[in-house]
Amino acid sequence: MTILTLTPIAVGLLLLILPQLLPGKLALSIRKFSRNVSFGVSMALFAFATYLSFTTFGGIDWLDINMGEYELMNDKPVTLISSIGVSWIVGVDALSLPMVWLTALLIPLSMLVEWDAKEGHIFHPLILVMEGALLGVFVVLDLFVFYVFWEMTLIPMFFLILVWGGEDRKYASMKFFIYTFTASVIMLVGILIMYFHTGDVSGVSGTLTGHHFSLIEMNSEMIQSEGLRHLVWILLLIGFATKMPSVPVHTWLPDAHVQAPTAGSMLLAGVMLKMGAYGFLRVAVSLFPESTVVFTPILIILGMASLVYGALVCMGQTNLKRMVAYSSVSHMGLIFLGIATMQPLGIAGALFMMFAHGIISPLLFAVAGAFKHHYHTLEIGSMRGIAHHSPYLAAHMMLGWMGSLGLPLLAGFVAEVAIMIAFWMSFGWLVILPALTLIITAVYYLTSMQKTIFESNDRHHGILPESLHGEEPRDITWNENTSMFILGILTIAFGIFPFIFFDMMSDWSSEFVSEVLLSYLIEQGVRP
Amino acid sequence: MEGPTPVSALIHAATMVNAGLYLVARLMPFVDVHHHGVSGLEDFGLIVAWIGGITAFMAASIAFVQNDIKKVLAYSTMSQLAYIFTGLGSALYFLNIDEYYAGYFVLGASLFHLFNHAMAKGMLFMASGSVIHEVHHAHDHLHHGSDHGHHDFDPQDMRNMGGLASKLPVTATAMMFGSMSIIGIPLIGGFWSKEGIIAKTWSAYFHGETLMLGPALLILATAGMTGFYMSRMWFMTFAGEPKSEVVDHVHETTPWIKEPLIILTIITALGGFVLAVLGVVDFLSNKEANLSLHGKSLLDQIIYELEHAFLPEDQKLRIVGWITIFLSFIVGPIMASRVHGGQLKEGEKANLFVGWLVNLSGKFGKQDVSWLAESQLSEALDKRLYFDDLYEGVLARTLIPFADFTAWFDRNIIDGIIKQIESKSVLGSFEIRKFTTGSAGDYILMATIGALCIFVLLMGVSF
Repeated sequence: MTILTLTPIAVGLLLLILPQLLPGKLALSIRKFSRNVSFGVSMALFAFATYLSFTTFGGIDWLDINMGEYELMNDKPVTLISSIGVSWIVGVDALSLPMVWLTALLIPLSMLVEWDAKEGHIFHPLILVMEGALLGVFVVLDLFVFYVFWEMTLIPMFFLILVWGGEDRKYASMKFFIYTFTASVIMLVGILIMYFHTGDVSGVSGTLTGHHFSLIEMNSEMIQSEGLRHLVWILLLIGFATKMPSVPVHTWLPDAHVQAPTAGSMLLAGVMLKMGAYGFLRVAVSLFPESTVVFTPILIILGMASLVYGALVCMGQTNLKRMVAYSSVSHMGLIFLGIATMQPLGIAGALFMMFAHGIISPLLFAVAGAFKHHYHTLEIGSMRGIAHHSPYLAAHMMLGWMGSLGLPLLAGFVAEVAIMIAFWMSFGWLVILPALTLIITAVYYLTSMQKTIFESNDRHHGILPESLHGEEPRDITWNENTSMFILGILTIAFGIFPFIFFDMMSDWSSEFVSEVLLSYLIEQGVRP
Repeated sequence: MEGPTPVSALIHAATMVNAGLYLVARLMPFVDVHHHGVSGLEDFGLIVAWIGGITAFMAASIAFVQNDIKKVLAYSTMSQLAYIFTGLGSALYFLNIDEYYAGYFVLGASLFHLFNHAMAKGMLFMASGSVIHEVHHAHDHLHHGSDHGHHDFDPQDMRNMGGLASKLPVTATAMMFGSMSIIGIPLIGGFWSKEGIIAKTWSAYFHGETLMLGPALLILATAGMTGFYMSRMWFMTFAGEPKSEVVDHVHETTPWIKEPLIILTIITALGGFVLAVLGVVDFLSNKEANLSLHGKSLLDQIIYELEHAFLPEDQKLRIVGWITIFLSFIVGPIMASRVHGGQLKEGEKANLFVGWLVNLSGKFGKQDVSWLAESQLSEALDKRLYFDDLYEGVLARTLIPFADFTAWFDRNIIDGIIKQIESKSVLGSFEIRKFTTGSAGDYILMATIGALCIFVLLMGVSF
């Protein structure tokens, strides 16, 4: 896991810095190859992650990990800053493994989509650095390092938006950075409160403060006061909910998405949003199950608001990418609802939602980016019948849209159904609200699709947007096509065989509920 | 119904539309109290029956005024499926009050009607496709090379047809048998199942459930209305004088259209009777039963079924049965023939199967109903009782403006607040910056004020 995290950062930084240091000729040749090297490294990491996930590597059975145990851990924590008790501990379990695989998958794909990006010798290494930071968030088990990686993801993304973004990129990148940074500082306050309540433990020796950041050694009993526990939970929630993002702290997302380059939005929607849900489960719910049970109504309200409100806002959008961005808000609401059910099935559904949304939403953004790229506009009403001109784009759009609205046999459906069933088990008839929202989802997806790729009266010609200035439009290029094709195939594959990851997710969730949550559920009178 | 005709035939008539009915039929074990179902759900059956009755009546009345041949069939589908729905409703009712024999009977009859209707309607759609195809073809042929009049011609509009019986003999025959099956002309196809549904719905009323009277009356009336609109469609298309010059050029030329029609016609015409004799009603509702003569001779079984259909033991049901036959067989078709029927143009001759019907349709005189066609009721029916307008209006006035409002709210209120925080903090820093004047006098003043404040605070603490 250490290799997986540090390699991309090292290679990416090298590729960024070396040309500045070396003399002209060598620098030129490095620049020439940095795109290929970045892609090669990311592919190698993907192969490695796949090997880890799908083979019984070193005798790991992903379905047989007890709560609180991690696989592929480094044997001894490496002390990084001994004076305040920071150490390097990495490990994965069934919660993080799908996310690791997803990240390793999306990085080469998003590189591929923007294969011909201008300034490619900076663009691709930046994405590689991004990969390292994202993987770090998912595998690190030390809260200090976790926070460092958490903030580190912002930097490449900030530059991606600022340099390669749309017309309004400066505003969007600043907003993105400051907004999410503020939220994570609030989260940091929570982490620090936890830190000051830890005791000295063996393995992390010689600290000046007598505290440590190790996540595995923490538990909720370390904070005596119930009120303080709730406070920490709320602080963490603010940090994670902003990242997810949940209504009402979601407004950075549409701006960032609309202005970001295609690869940026793909990673933003595909992985960065999942950091919020992952962190919430890993830190807030795992360490403070009691507060989670007490504050379930907050989760339901946030989830419902994101789901319903996000879907309604989607209906009111005329910009394709904005609409897709808000649909992410809507789907992230389902994750909160899934967690709030406190059922193994619901949490497994939420986990699968994280994964499924992670392969579907990059497809959506790749499609939206292709519209921007080849038609120079994202206004839904400005074109009709694009399917005549860009059949591949239209096909990918249809598959992605259908996947996102939850068509059976596609990945999104599995997650939605699991969450709905669990929601019914926990809250009964309240399930009507999320279920009805799925209709709104269908409405905005179908109308946007109908208005752009279908509905032209002429059999051979669509209505082209004015932004083309009378040029003949092209279909998507080979690299976009390949990338979207892979995502589409995976959408179908995980719709038909969800158990590839769903098994380990449900295994993790049932253990999570029985080991961590159940005693508090009984204590609070939620379950008999 | 904008889809291609074979698609309509397959999904709008035979397969997809039956999914809902199938699901209701699947619910039977839940209410079957004789086999440990949940009791006290009679109201469920009543609701289903009422929905079925109202839908059947409404769809039939909308079909009265449609001029598009496929739309008539579409509304007829709606109406016939609602029959099945009513039947399932009575089945739910009977099973829930432990009258399981009657319940199973009407369940079987409903599913049997599903089969009969699928066969007949699938064939009718294909036949209508044949008509449309040939009319379109003839129109293209007629106006070959000339542009005018090309665009406002609708090959699906029955007002452009008439007198096609001699031009399209196979299609006309097929459509005649299909319509007969849908109407429920005795001995043909749908009669065997429809009779059972109506009879059992009435017997639910006679059993003491007064609320069943509504659905029972509605589907009884619908039986007559079915007779009218199906005959109207047939007479408008195939009988009478041609209503446009195109008709003269229509021929049954396309190969491979006739064959499926012939096969389905045979099944439609004879299938109902054969299956009824073989005891299909039992077979469909009872998992132990199978299709056979049940140890009786063929003749016995035929006599039994005929008796059962025409002379049931219950006096009341006998009356109901004969009223149904009277309405659907006599009243509906005769009224339709008075409006739309008529002899073919001179020199044209229809074949043996349909010729008698065309001749007969001219025998009842002519009735002018243009006053009715121009009435408000007719317009309302033509507009499908404004249901589409209602839905569109409700959506356009509620959900869509609300979504737009939400988008506005998100952009201006939620994001606006964030922007306010941002701009206000910029402003605030601007204001604070003003203190940094660079003049030593200001700094000394501030330092003095600060020191004073600290002093006062310390005083306060020490006392």
